[in-house]
Amino acid sequence: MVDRSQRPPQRDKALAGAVGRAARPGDAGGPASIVFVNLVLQPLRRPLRSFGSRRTWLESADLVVNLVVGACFATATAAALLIVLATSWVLGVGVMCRAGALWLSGQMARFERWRLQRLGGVRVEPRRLPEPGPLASRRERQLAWGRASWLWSLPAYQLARLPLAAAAAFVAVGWAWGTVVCFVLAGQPKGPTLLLAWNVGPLALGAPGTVGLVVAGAAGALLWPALAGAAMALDAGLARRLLGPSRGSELAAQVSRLSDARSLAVESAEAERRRIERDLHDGLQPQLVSLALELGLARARNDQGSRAIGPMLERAHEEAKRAVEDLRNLVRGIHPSVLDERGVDAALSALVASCPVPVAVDVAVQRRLGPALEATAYFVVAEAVTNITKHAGAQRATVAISEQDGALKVVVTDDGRGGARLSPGGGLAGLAARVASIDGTFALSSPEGGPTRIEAVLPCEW
Amino acid sequence: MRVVIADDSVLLREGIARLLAEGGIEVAARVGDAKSLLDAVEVERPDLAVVDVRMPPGHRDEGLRAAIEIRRRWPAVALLVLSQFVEERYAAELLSAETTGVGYLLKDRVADVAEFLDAVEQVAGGGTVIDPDVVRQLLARTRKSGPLARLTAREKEVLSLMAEGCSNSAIAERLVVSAGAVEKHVSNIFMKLDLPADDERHQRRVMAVVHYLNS
Repeated sequence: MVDRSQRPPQRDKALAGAVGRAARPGDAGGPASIVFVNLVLQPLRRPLRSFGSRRTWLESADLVVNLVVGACFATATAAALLIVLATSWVLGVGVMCRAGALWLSGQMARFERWRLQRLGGVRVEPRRLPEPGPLASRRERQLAWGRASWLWSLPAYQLARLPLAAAAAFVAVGWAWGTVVCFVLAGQPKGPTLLLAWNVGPLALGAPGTVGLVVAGAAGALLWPALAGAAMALDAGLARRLLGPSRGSELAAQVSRLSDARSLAVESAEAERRRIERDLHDGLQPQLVSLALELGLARARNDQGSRAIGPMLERAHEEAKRAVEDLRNLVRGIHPSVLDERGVDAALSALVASCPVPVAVDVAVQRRLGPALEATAYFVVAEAVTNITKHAGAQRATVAISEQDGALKVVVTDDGRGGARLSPGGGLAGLAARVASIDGTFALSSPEGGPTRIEAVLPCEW
Repeated sequence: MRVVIADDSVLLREGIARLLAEGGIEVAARVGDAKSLLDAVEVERPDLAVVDVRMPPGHRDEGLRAAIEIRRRWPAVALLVLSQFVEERYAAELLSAETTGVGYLLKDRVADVAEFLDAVEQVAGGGTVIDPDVVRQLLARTRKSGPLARLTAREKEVLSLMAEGCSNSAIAERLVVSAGAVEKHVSNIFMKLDLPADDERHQRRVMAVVHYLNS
């Protein structure tokens, strides 16, 4: 079990990412050397160490990659934006194009984040992409992209980044060229001075000039990592600002998640009521009517006084007992009271006992978790077990409930024939809605031929 | 008399079949959904179909729609529609085309064997049986205009007993009044509901209810 308080808060993690790799503190030495180390060696250490290091190479490579990718992506973005502008007045098409352009920007942003991570070691948290509810149709998913206004910063990044990348590349080329020139000239203190194949005429550099050129060249070379690093930092800063999470996007995402959760909560409550109505209507009511009918027949015969009513009473008795049992199961299905009194583990015992398929239950959570969470966890298992009983044709099934990272994880598997689907109005879809209503996630994997795996992750606090 | 029973609950289907057998009625077919009901009626051409409103596949009003279809295609087949809930709208739909040989009863009524068999006989004989609950629902709705608003409370009472299929003498007994008083109420009802006086007597009684259903 992981205690919530032991985890570093999300904010700190983001902050650490924003800072990137912090310089390691210098090694401590004797009192006399401290001044020398701190004042002279320490500032030199980083450039010295990082010159020719893997990081410098990656950052230098990024100068090129950034420019090339920037040119391609900026072109694509400009084209996409032009199409959006051109179609914006066409009803329907405009919406689709806007969604498509933003989707494309999202994909490019994914690449950028990957590039920054691989070449710069900089982690940029993603800006929240639209998350339609679990039951959203394909079209709804597509259109969600067009409605997320905070996504417009993604194409903006592509357009702003290209001049930045070009400027960085320009400065870097100039820098490298200058450094090389310093060394080339310093190597020819006398005579005709050739700069590569170009005769720049006799330059009388003399010793001080030569030393100056060497120092300048060395400084240029040593400061190259700083230059590459600065270019990377600039790009990372821009990316973090435009590709990273924004307050607006976070809030918008939260609002849309909450409103989804609310409507799903209403829907799932409604579906639950319909289920109860159906169970009562199709199960119990006919039984009681039939019982009344049986007794009515017996009474009619009894009134006639001639024929035996034994078999009828027997049937009525059987039906009454069956109705009592069904009522018990039905009530239990609505909400088992042991769930409130003893928790999920206790409630599951009776549930799996009623399943003809052997179910191995492993509940690794000892503490109580609050009624809504426990009820949801219970019904995930209950619906899954019902499905296994009815459709799976399984030999065995497992139920595992554990607590991970402040969330309750419920996993139900079976070795049946698979092919389970989230069809609207079905039990599994109702379950997905119910899980989403408490901000949880629901995943179903059920290939034809099995096995089937249902996983629900329910946040302990929502 | 030959009967087809359509109910998706096997338990009830068998129960009703035994009940009918008890009353000496032949059960020609027992089916569990609307489509097989239509097939069975086509093959068997029964005198009466006992139909549950809610049946597979949709578990909504498939039975009711099948009953209306039967009425359209085979008008000679009498219909007794059973429902776990009585809804005046369903009754109105059922009775909108033709009112002879139609019944609409709460399913619970099967428990009163004699009355149920009575209703079956009545419907099969071309009569109309409407569950008292339907009438109660109709009377419960206060409408400012319409023929029913013109009835007095006592007349409404008499009307609901008429709909249950009570004869004048039975109504007099239930309301503890003289047969003559009931007679007067009944003719008042017919008059207020603008029912033609030359209809068959039995037919007129039911028409009094049906009239309102279709208004």
